[in-house]
Amino acid sequence: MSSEQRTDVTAATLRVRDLTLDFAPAQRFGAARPLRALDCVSLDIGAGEIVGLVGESGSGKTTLGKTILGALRPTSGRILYQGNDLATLPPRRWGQLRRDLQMIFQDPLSSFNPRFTIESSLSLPLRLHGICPKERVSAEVAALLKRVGLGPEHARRYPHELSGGQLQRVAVARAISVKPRIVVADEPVSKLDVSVRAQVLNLLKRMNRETGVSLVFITHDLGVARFLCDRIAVMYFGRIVEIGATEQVFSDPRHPYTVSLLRARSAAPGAVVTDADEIRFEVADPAHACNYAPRCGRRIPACAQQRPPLAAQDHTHAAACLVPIATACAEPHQPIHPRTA
Amino acid sequence: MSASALMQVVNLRTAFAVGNERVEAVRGVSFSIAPGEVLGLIGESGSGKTVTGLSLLRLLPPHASVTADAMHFRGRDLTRLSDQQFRSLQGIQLAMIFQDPVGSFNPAKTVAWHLRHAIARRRACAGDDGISWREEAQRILQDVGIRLPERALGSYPHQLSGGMLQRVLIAIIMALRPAFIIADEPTTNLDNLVERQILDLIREQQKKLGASVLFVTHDLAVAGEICDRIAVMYAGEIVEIGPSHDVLQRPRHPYAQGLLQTSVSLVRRDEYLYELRGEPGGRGAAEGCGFVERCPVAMAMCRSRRPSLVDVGPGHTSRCLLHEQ
Repeated sequence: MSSEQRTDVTAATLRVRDLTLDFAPAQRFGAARPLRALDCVSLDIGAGEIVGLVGESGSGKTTLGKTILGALRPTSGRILYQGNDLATLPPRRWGQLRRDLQMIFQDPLSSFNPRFTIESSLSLPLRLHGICPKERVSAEVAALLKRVGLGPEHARRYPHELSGGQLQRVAVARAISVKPRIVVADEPVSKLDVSVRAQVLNLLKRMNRETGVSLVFITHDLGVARFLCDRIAVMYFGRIVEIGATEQVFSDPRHPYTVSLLRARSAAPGAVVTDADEIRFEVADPAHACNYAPRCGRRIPACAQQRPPLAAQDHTHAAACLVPIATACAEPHQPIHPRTA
Repeated sequence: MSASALMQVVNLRTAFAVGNERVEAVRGVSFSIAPGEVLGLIGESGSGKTVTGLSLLRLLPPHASVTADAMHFRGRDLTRLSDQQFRSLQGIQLAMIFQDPVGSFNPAKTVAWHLRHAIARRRACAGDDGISWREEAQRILQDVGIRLPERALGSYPHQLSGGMLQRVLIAIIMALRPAFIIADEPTTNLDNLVERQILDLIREQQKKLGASVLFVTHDLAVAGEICDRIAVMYAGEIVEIGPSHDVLQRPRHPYAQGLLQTSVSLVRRDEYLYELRGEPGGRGAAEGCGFVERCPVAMAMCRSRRPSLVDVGPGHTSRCLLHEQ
């Protein structure tokens, strides 16, 4: 695995620049300010690279994934792909680009039409994008199922007749069937049983290695991210607070939030230093302050007046912190059973 | 062990009538829990772990049939109690923390209402403490890490985050002071950091209360953090039970060994993870081992002979024919 080549930004397939997305507030309860789900996010996705987006719920990782695919329209910013800016490209001009960007959802059961057999679900994209001649579609479906470890007998079944793990493998087959360049996988194993997660994770990795497809892998599970991803972006309330090669982020985290996430899964009871009371942390002016400051043990007065830029720590590693953890932290002790067995 | 056990369950069987069929979800589960002990019940969906918990508390719908040779709780056999007698124990002696904190609250009532009722219920059974319920409620909320108890008391459930609600739920349990708590995946819907805090809190409050806990989870790491002993369920049976450390680090049953191998390959950062083949949710034949279809070391006789629990270490038993040879 050549990680240098994988993180080379010049080989980037897709570039996200200053992406911001505001959700309009519900009008029912008076004038609330818009919710900033993405806040100036910049990210490169290299060819054949697996980029992990990690963070807690509400951190904007799913929103970022959906925005990249054009399912949500950003308020500002650019998504550069093959000379197009997907952020402003009108839907009718997507054409071929739709085929290049695919998605795997968290809940396999709700991402298939319950009245379609697996065969019809898999053959639809093949026909729509003209992947193979009509008379070959059925053979292609069988080949796809075989590639994800399922038999031809599964083609005739309906989604509810398959287990979650089997169905998620069909979802992988559907995503790769149109030979995409980038697949966004949104927590694809979090709803699966422990004993089948490994099957789906191995499958995703094998697909990446065999076809060179780039993966944007959204997860809250650091153990899984470490296994699968070449690079990791840690998100907090709509911002990327740290980004770098996986091993660097794990062995030498610079942002205090990354450190507490790493500690949460491995430290002794009581060792996690975050605020216990999570009544919404009010940040006076998020545009001019660090939004992690209210929870942060390292904050200095400047954190409330200045927004920390995502500053390079070295050529492949960056953190958005005014007081980054400078010295290499010893890697936290690894439990024998990480979150996902 | 049976003499000192707070809860002892012998041969619990729970079946559901589905159409004309009878589906056995729990197939002869036996365990005991000592006072102040946390027993983990781990397994995947369909393994029967949640149904085991609900059976103990009589919370299953009428089409479920629950039988057991015995369910001893503090010297009483729960199977012999009428529904009315049992209801007087629910909440007060036997309590439950559910996976979904939102669903555990009445959405139209404030936190204060929920706590007032819990405190009143305990006082009706165990006597008054001589302080106002509000004062007691504030004290308990502070104990569970809520810094502004007055603000929390005036809140409705939808105004609080999942982690806060789970804290309030633990506060309600603390107000009831039960001897036995079933916690069914109490941290599954929470974020990592919050999950960590809630686990610490459950452990801390459980010690304070001296209560025994049956901790149901699918997450081995969580189980390892909080449990004294662990029982692994597969296809409605306990396939391995023993001290936490032994079950997680030196499992003997092929299923538990497979789970360990996967996480070892994750920690070692292998290029590919160790996979258990097959799909969960199999029921297994009436005779024979429930795990046989997925077992990497299955033998011909595994299909015809049902393994029984065999001692494999101090306080550690496992259900596999390999041990019986």
